Amino acid sequence: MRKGRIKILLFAIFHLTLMASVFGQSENDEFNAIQKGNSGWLSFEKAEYDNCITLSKNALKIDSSLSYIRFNIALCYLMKGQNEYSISEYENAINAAKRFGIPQEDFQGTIDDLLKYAGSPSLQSIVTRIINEIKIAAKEYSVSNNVFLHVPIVVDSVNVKEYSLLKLKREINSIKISITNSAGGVIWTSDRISSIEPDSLAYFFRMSVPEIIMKKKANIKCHYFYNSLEKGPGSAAAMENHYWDEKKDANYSSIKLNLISSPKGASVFLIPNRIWQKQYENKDWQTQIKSMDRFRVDGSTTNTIANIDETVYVIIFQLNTTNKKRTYFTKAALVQPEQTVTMNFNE
Amino acid sequence: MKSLASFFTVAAGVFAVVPGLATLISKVGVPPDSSSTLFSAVIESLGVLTLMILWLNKGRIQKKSEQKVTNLSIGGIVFFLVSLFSYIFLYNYLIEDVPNSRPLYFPLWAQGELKTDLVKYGTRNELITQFGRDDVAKLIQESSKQALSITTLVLLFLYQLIFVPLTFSFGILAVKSINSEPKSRP
Repeated sequence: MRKGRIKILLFAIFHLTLMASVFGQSENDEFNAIQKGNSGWLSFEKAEYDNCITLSKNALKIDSSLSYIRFNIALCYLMKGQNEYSISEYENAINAAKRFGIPQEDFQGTIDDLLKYAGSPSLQSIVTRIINEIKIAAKEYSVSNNVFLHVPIVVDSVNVKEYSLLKLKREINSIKISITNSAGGVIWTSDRISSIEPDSLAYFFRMSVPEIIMKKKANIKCHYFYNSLEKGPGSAAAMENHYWDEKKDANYSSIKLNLISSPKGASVFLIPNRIWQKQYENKDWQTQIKSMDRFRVDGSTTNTIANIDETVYVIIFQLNTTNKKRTYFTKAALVQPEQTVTMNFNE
Repeated sequence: MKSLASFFTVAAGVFAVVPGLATLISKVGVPPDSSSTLFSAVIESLGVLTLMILWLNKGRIQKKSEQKVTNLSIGGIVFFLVSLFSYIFLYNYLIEDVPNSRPLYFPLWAQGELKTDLVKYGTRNELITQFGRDDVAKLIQESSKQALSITTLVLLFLYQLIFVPLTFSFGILAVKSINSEPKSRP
């Protein structure tokens, strides 16, 4: 009987250990990898390059997607005078950055590190060569696509009731989007987006995302900015709060939509049908084009592209003073990942 | 008899462990955009808990007549079948297939804007046609979050009711069978 009890106990312990390891592993890994990477950089600053390389390689063994750590390893080899090896490591680091993504500012940080730590005249030619390669990689981030997204309206954690008693008010001012890789590392951050459309319980907005980032499977984090608290008109209290909200598994808009007009040069507005029906349908929409600016496909006129999800859009083409609209029933991305809408102004 | 007891013990262990792991890996039966980790963790925990409770009460079970244990075991299987059919029915009612795209998970009842729009368009299919699959997904998340959470809890409850009775049925037979083994002479 005692043997049976021991068996049951061992079974339960094994089971709980298995489940704990399955559920808890990934978060610990991410934390440990970043911690090891940071320790590596501390060693670098103490000129302990071998130690930095060891710690950084250990970090990459845990999480190989942390591209900035590869740049640290390459810099260590450069500082040790192993120039050819360093160049090869920089090439690896650039390839990894392209594969896993890296915040654009990290490219600049890498260049700054090179100039700061490897600025001696003997290294000048190598450093220039590496910087050029990094700049070429960074350039890929400048090719952007328009993306239309929704993020949820979050509950204001500040005690709004208390402020309202003091006749204070605050409203959302802008949002900032960060794209994270599967390990949670930020690989790209948008500028502040202030042109946002409150849509019942969500904000709808447009942003430009580098093409290289759009090719990666990633999650989206949204940073909400609120304006200063205002007491009555004019005077502003010095208070600003930030919120984070994570939309897990939120992929980018996956459909490439070609927007073509004849003749070219038309501005295009993409308005979700749901918003259209509530705000513009049965109204003289032609006179309200100015209020639709937040839906404009920015940066260019037709022929252009936008990236959308499986949402039905009312698309308005504006050429000089002529506006034409059509409702576009977006097809599934699986059926047609690239779709085209054309508008003929000559008809 | 010993081999029969072993069979029931193994079967009970399998039904306590395998469904949870299978759910975690394959996400089978988990509503779209819901956490398979939550579903599998609940099944795993309750499966093991069922076995532990049976083991703790083995004295009482072994005192019960074979007829009583058989009835309890059959009751467990009936419970399993009823839960399984209910789950399949509810799952098909709540999940709306979208051609060539990911299915949509609707709540048991609609709230807010979703309710208004469903009344306006009549059917879920028409709503998806008018707004697009992804916009309806956002609409559900935004306007019926509370209903969706409760729906997930109902589904989770039914889902674990599929596997716990199976573990119970085989577990109780295993505990009873151990008692029925011929005792060896000293």
